[in-house]
Amino acid sequence: MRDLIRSAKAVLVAYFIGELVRSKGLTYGLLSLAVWLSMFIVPASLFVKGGMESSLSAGVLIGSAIFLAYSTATWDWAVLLRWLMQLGILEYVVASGSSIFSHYLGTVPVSVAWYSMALTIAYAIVSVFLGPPKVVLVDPVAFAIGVLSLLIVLMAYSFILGGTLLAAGTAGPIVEFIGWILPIATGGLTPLAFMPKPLQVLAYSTPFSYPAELLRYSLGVSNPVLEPSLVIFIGAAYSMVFLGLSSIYLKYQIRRMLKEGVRSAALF
Amino acid sequence: MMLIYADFFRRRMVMITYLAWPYMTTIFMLMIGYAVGSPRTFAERVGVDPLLFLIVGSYLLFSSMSVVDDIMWRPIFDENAGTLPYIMSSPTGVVLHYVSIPIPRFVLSLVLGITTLFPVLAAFRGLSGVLVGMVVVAISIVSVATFVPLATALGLGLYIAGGENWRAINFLRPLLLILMGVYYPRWLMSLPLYIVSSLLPPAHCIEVVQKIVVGLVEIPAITISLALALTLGLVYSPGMLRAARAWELRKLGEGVKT
Repeated sequence: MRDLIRSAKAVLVAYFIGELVRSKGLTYGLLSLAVWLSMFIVPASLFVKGGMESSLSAGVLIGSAIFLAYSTATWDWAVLLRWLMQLGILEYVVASGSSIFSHYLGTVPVSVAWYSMALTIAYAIVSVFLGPPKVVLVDPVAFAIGVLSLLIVLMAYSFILGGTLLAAGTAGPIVEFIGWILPIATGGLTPLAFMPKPLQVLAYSTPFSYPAELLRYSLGVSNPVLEPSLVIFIGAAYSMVFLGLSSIYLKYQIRRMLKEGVRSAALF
Repeated sequence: MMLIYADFFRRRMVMITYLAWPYMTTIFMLMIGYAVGSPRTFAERVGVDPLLFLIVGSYLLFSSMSVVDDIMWRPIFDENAGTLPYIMSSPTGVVLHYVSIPIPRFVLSLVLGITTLFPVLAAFRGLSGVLVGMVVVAISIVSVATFVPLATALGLGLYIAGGENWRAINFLRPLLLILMGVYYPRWLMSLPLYIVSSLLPPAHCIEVVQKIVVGLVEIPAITISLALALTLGLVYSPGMLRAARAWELRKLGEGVKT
């Protein structure tokens, strides 16, 4: 455990200095995020006549927050393994004896800091173009479970994606596609109540929909399709099971990589 | 060309995602729009159903990006793949190399037009929709062709200024797309933004396409806009040549990182 923490700390320092400070990743990343968000949020104002209700812009903010969380899990956590492959240093990481999980743990603090800043930018863009969002905490317990289960689900998702990248090598466009389709198809962007019945069933069959529904419910934006207490129970249990299964999957892919060697990844 | 197509067909999942992207972003935009307002308001303000407008916007976005990305990211890909030294030492000049990159992508844009625009436009407007789709695809190719000089000049110029930094490119791409008005029509932009966007050759083509879809445009207006785009494309060509030459000299002077 001590070794894992030491490795995670080394990853954190290296990632922070290399990615955010030396290559100006923080500045470029936030600027880029603001522009991408504006590109998708500004046209939404064309759907609105006069002023917008603050609860609706709160819905857009929460949708953006969930989308950003997926984006962070995809690009900060899962694709990190691909970067290690692409730079040709994954072999050295494996040979050093440090766990792959240390890379996930090491990037979490930077990701949280990055996510907070990204959310502030999203808030500013939504406020300027759609109107100030009104967010009220109506159920703190549901909110806490929603945040925690979202974190667990996204970590599990990044394990699966990371394991798949180890197995497949080059798969950049597919990763990008998955990072988009998941929040759309599983009710990350809009409440499940607004979606057709088959999509609701599909969304509830995945662990991704429960945290999103809980967050919207706890912040007074919309009610879940199922009973809130049921969403809390299933969401918490499903996220833990999902994390366990995804850890097994990632470990299996790492063992497979040790037998077959690290795949080369050059193109995006 | 054959290498691009071979890569495209070999990586089937990449091919499928390439063709699915316009639908994905359209659904994404529609979901946000429907969550905050109504399609009727959109139709009143823009003049056409949001699905029609956004699918055309998504097609323009991805047909532009498939070409421009290839140009802007190519130096980074070649450096990562270790092929940049071979490209630098090949008898083909850097300018010719970069100008030839978009050619196979034009054909892929046609395919994207067939899979994206034709089904939706045909569903909304029948046979006339297919004809509109053909016009849109033709103009989009002109749009991208006029964009190549500026994209190459900006991409290589950025690499000269700050090294091969993909983050700078990642910031520049959406900024250009916003200014081009792919999702927000230029005629609704504020005057300063409209003037700035006028400096981008594809912005004129995209405005024409959107006006055709809305039913606002007349033949002289199309001709003027396309002429303006072509003129701007020519105006930026010396910049492209200078940037390519400067980048090549820099690489030859400093060596290529492998």
